[in-house]
Amino acid sequence: MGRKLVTRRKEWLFKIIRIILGFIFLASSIEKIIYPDIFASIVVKYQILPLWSVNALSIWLSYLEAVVGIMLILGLWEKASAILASGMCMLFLIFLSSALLRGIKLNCGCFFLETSTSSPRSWATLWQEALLLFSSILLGFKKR
Amino acid sequence: MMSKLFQATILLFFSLILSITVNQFHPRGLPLIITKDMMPGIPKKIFKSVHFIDVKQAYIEAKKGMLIDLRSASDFQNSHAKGAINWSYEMLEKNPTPFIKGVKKETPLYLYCYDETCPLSIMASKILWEQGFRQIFIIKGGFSAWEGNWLPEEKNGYLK
Repeated sequence: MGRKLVTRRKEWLFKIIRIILGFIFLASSIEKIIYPDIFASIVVKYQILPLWSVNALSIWLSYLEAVVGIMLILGLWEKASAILASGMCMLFLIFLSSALLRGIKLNCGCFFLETSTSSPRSWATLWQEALLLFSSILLGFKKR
Repeated sequence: MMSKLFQATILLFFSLILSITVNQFHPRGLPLIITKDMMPGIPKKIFKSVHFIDVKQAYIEAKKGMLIDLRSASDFQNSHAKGAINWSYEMLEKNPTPFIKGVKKETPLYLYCYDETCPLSIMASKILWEQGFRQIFIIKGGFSAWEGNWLPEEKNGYLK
């Protein structure tokens, strides 16, 4: 009886994490989809991708975020979506860390697309991405 | 595990097709392939009106039009390209009317901001295109390229 209760609580916890994660991904994709030009300009500032690839990759990334977000909210192909979510978080962590290491000041362009660097990202704010990565890994590799 | 990877591949593929399709009809859709001498982030509809120009070429050609510094007013006062006027992007974005008042729409506009990765020129080009300007030139490398090529500057009101 006790074991069943723990399992049920765990299931609920995973469900909540999945839905929150899904909403975060979906919300972060909305402005990117509406303003692909601004998002592409932000991606340029990271100085990682070759310029010829920025337009195509930034557009693709926005829709991938939206698709993964919707799949997570609906609970469809949950693990596959969570694996993709963790991949995106990891990629983003690498991009942001690399930019910070090179002393580039930038806003992450995560939710609201701001091109100004009035409140630039720092090492101290990386925990947010790390938390997202941890949650998506948790979902992607959880046991049935 | 294989089925998860297969599903993930389908999602990747689906989002790719979706992004290409929507981008075709998006009012701010971007060209997917750009050449080496162009910059990302310029919507397809204004792509033909915006040209990227080398800093040395801009120095010669800007005499035919207006050389516009999009950086902040304080940075402009500190130093700027000789002959440039300051249309601080921050102000231009809020209200372009006072800046473009009296400027003929066919005037070539040569824009520059801080450096190669500065998005202000691209963003300003969209505002100016919407205001009816069709001859917009973005100076590649911005002010850092201007300085790097030892082109004439004005520092605190003095010619350098």
